[in-house]
Amino acid sequence: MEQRQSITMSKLDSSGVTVLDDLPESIIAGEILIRLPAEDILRCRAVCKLWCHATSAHDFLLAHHHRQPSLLLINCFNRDNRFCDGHLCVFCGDHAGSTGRKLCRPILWYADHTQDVDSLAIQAACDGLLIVSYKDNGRRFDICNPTTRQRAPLLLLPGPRCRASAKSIRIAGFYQHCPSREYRLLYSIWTRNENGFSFTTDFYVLSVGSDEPRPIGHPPMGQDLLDGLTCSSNVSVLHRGSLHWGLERYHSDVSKILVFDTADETFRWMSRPTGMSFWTLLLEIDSVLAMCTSHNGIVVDIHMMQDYEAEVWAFKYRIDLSALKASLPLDLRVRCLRKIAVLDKHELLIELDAGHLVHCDIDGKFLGHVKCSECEESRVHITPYRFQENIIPLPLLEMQDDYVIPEAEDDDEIHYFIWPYP
Amino acid sequence: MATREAGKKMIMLKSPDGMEFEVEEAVAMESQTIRKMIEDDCADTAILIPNINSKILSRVIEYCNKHVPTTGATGAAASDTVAPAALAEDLKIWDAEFIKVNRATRFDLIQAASYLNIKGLLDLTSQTTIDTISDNSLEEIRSFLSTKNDYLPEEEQTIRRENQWAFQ
Repeated sequence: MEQRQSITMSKLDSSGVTVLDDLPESIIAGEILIRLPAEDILRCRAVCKLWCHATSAHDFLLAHHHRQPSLLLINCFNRDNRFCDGHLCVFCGDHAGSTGRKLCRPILWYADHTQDVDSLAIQAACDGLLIVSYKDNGRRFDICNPTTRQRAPLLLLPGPRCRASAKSIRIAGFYQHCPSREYRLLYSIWTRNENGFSFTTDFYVLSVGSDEPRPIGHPPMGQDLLDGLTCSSNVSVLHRGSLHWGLERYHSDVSKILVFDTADETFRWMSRPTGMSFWTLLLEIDSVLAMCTSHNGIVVDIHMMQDYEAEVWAFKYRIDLSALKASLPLDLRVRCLRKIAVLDKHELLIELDAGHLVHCDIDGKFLGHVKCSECEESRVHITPYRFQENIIPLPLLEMQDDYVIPEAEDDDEIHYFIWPYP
Repeated sequence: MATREAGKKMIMLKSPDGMEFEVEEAVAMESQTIRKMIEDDCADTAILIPNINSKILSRVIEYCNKHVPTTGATGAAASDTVAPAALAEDLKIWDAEFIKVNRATRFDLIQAASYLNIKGLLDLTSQTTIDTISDNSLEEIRSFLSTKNDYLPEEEQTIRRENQWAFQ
């Protein structure tokens, strides 16, 4: 029968001793090497030619990327210990398994940061690639792959005239364009008008590796809302191949979600759940779009998308932070909720005022406190970004032999280092 | 359908060196490859397992016997998700004993687990090799795994230079 066709194997007689080299390449690569952490894959290429060949194939690298967990990025700060002073870490959870990884694994070190969280440098993340900005220069951006320890400058300003007049660049989204497999940035360039106080805002898309930004249509909204399309303050949620922004914070009258389809690169509106309060947050929970809302910073309601096409939402979960009083020294007279991030299907991390980071399930059941394992005294902050290790070569990054600071027009220094800093 | 009476029905597995093993269908279906054959009704008589000798096949069956879900469920659910914590712990200890074999047997088991598509056995058998690669220098990896270095010295230097940090 067809299923019983013979497979190619080197040995039949039981007297022979099997060595690893006897196994077919598909087993060595597809069953063994693929389980290695990224760093070991790059190292094991020097063992022999077969291993190098097998671990360099695009299919292998893509399969390896898909095996990696998508982990939450968090910021850890510590004033006391120089080497814990400002890290971007992946949050591995307390079930890190046999790899021996710690609860938090640093991937970047911020040099000379202030403790102002909003000034931090990460602008966007997609598939293990980060967009990093230079704190004192709103026009300079890098793409960085901490896993392969590569980075390269991005040229986001089209033409010299724009370079002279542009005031700032704001990243709106970072995604892989499915038809072309290119990584692309959606961003806006803000130019001050002659009147001196208003701005003109133009939207562009740049394919990573290209130096020709392409202008695209303006989002269907007024100037007053465009701040909401700035990643550092309102990160979009990539779901079903589209970027989604909740914009309530920027204008209380907005009762819709802005959507950017990353395949045809157009904007549209989508309805949100009814009965949202002032504070809202878009998340993706277990591959479903979710919107959290809270009227008092203590009780959080989570609405889940029931039918994406028909834009039907339903109220699903309620988290009452006052129920955590037994576990936390909370002062419920003030707002205590700051941020929420998804750990996995049913588990969330909630950041509260006064530096508490709480691990709870989606029904609000307390599961534990979170502390950075690297440094006892640290403050830990949730970021809206996720990180999934990726060692697929990106041409732009491959070309950077030695990283040089772009446009050395002033004495800016590189202000972040890929961990571990030598 | 053959799957309806899983747990009672017996299946004959034949190794290429002529040995026959009668196993419960549910046990044989721990192998996704055999499951597919049974579900496609290609398993009316004995199933020949090509290129897996009787010594290795008997170890594989031993593994499947231990790991078959005890609840009688024939769904795709892995046994360790069904089993209560104590049972899972017991399986872990059993696995640790099971994998105390020489290297050649381990590679034979990897090959068999890959062909028969038994995820748990693949995880178990490949982990030692993974640890060997992660924990040792290139020379040690080659020596422990009997892998020949077919690079010229300058070729190896080039590869090392490309990702120098990974070697530190």
